[in-house]
Amino acid sequence: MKVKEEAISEVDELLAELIERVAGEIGLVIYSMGLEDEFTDEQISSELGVEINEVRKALFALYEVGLASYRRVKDDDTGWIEYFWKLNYEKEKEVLLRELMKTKRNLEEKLKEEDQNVYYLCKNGCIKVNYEEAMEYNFMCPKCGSMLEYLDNTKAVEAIKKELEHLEKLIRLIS
Amino acid sequence: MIDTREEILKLLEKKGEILQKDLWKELNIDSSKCSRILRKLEKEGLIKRIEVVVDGVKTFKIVPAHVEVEEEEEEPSLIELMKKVEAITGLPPCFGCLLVECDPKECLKLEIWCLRRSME
Repeated sequence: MKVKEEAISEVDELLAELIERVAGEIGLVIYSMGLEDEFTDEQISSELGVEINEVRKALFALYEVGLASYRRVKDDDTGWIEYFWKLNYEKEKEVLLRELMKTKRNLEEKLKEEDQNVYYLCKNGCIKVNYEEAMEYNFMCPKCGSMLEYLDNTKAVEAIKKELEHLEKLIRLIS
Repeated sequence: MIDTREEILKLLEKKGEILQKDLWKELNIDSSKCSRILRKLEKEGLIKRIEVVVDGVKTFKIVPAHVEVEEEEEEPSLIELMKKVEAITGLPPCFGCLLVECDPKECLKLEIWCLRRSME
């Protein structure tokens, strides 16, 4: 039972992190309101005391990631277009999984790249380039002129591998 | 139309600057209408539009006409960027990134995440 509870809270935390990254704090607050029915941006704006533009921005961000949907209704008298929003709580798992899988895919690609290349870093930290590029620059930073030094990326590779394991664990937890 | 124009100008007054790609979402209008209005506002000398690249996508930074446009800043170095994203911990930046097309090998955010992780 305890294990299950921990798993639930970990998923909740993950979801909160996703929403905050995508739609900011306001997005997270709106999402946490538990709105089952349709609502308008004006309603949320007055309820939270947050500017309507901020509310719209957050809602569109939630829409982009798949956690909200809307229907547009044109008022024939005024010509104004009103948005009726709905939060897609039922899609949480699907959205989280999609984001985790995408992150995993990208990291795998990055890992391959880091594994196959030898990198050089500017002494002053301006740029990081691979061996071929460093050769072209004559091992001098094109920005500041300092030496380009060999970069030991063992730790970076280790960190990516560790994160991939972490992601796999999270994916298993949710699926 | 007049309402939207005024809304844009008011928003600019308050924020100082705004990206076109954020503006139309905030105002609840479609992107082509937004760009039409902005072009007109620029012609009338009420605003300036500065072409910028955000997350690899071209857009305009909108500023009030009286703002002096600075010379384009030089790209910050990796070290500077790493200091800026110090707060970013946890999952890689891909989690929650809304870019439709991306190349993880070229992504600066992911690069910085890896560098930071390898230095921890």
